[in-house]
Order: sequence, then C-alpha cells, then structure tokens
Amino acid sequence: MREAMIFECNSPDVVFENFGDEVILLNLRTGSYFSLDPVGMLCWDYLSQQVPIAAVIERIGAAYGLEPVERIAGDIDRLVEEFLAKNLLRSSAQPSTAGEAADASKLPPVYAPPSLTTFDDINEMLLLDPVHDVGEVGWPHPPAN
Amino acid sequence: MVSVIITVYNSEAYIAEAVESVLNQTLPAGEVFVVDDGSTDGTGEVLRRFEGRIRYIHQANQGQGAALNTGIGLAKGSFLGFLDSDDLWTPTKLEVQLAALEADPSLELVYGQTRQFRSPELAPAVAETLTCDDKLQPSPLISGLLVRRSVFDGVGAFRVDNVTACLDWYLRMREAGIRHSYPDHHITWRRVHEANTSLKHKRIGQDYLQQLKASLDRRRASGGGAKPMVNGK
Repeated sequence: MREAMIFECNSPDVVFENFGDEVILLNLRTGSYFSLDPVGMLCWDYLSQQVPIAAVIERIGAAYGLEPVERIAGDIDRLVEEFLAKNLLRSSAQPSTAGEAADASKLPPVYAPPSLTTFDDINEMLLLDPVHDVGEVGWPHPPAN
Repeated sequence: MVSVIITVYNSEAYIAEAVESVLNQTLPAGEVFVVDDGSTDGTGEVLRRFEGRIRYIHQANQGQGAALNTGIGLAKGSFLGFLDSDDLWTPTKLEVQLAALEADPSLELVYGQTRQFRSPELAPAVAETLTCDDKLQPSPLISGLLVRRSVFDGVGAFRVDNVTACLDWYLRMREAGIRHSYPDHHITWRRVHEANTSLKHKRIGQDYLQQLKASLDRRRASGGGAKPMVNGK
C-alpha cells in the first residue's frame, strides 16, 4: 500500500538545503532546481528522513488540528508524485528513526496545500558544472581573509 | 574591437594551448590579456614565449572574480571574450559570435556549443573515473562568453567574495533580462581533468544552493516574484 511506502533523498544526484523560509533542491542529473513552501518543506523533511507517507499525513494534519487527516491525503500524495516524477526522492527500505525531529514550528497559521515550484531556466549552466578548476588550493576560491 | 581576457592560476600544463587557441582565431582579437592570479607554478615562465602577442598581468592571488575584473578594467574593446586557462577555443569562435552580435544590435551576449574532452595526459585508470559527456551541448560557461562591454554597466562586475563568481554573474545577467543566444556552432572545448571534477559534489551543497537562494530572493525583492527567468526583457 502506497501510504506505507518509505522514501529517501535521491542523493548524490539531488542536493538540498533548508534556508528557514524555503527548501531549495537541485537535481544535478537534470539541472533543474526547486523551491518548497513551508508545508512542502515539512513534508520534505519527513519524507527524506524515511517517514512513511501515512505518518507524514498524520503529523501535518495534527499540526493543523485537521480532522479527519484524510482530507489532506490527496495533497501530500500529489506532492510525493511530484518528488518522484522529478527524481528527487527514491524508495527506501530503511524506516526512519529521525523523523520526529523535523521542525513544525515554522508552519504558516492556515493550512494550504504544499507546493513545489520547478525552475528549468539555467539547466545548461548547472549541467556543465561552473565550478571549474577547483583543486584544493586552486580556483575558484575567495580571498584568504 | 574584441578584447580577450584569459584568467589563470597554476595552469602551466594547459595555459599555452589555451593562449594559442585565442591567437589562432580566423578573426583575430584586437588585444589579449592574460591575468595571472598569483600562480606559484611555472605559468609565468610558459607565457614568456607569447611576449609581444599578449599582455601579461601578474597580481596577488585574489580568486577568479578579481582576475576577471582586472582584465575587464584594462580592456579597451567594445566586445569582451573570456577563456579559462584549461579550456580551448575552436578557430572560428570569435568570427561566428561577432557575426551574430553585429547582425542583431539587440543581442547583447553570445554563447555557443561546447564539447568536453578528457585531458590527454591523464592516466587511463584516472580518465575512466571522470564523467565526460562528449556530445555537443549549449554552454553558458565563461570560456564561451562574448559580450558587449555595456552589459557590465547594468549587471555589474564579477563578485570577489564567493567561490563561484561565474555562476553568480550568470544568474545576475539572467535576472537582468539580458538578451543572449546560443548559436549552433561549436566554439569551445572544455577540458575535463581531475581538479575540475573531484570536488563537485562537495561544493555544490555550499555554493550552488546558496547562489540559487540568493537569486530567488533577488527576484522576489525586485517585485517579479520567484518565477523562472526568461531570455530577454
């Protein structure tokens, strides 16, 4: 059953960083990058830490006091579909031990479906790797101080 | 006139070939600067053989952004071309790009197609470990850039305080809506060697993502929202 499935970040092809107000993900295989809104960020935090979809729905629903939580199941499922379609997540066999630590404190007060924005505007640059000439002591690097 | 700026740091093995690829253009550049950002190897020695045909500038090591800015500050041309010391131009690179810019006054910047190659001195065992897609592909890397000098007035200089000055400049150029094109012509060879691939994944988390975040924030601050960028205003 889909709701029991466990996922993980599709690294090393995918790298991401949580900037507090958004998560930015980059797929190095395609050169696409992505921005997640706060609800999407929390979903990503949970899913990439191998929390099953059902538990993610439960936790987001609980954070908003939504009853029954099933009313947001379709939103989360659609987001997971997008993560999989863009190869940002992959199936995992390992259940999480760290999922409880995800930070729900930055959620907006009113629930809105999570949103993943895709940017395909600089694929050529990201695919070619502009970090050029980068030996440990080589270019590019900032001034010493 | 086209001014060419080659930037180099500790590239004694590759710099001569790079300079020759610029000097052998079917449409010669008006001036060629080689900005040596404090090399500690034999780069300066290698470049002596080009005396009279290039202007060699040696500066204290400050990073690639600073070296590029030094070259731009000295250049007199209304068109500026750039080359990394380990890459190569094809012989008709300037001719094709300049024709594109002269045919369309609204076009501000031209890139082209690149083909990657494994640096021939690599031991086979090492070469096999390097990813090298050798198909012709559109390249917005600095080595293929030919740009009207006026673009720098709007976009600004290269940043000198971060490690990926070229990605930062490219993002700002795109945010500014600079009209650019990628002619089908093969204009550069991009050398793949150990130094330019080994740290790829390690650096990306720190640099690429932060630069993408900065770009999205700038787009939001300018009132346009964090929308995908389009080519031209």
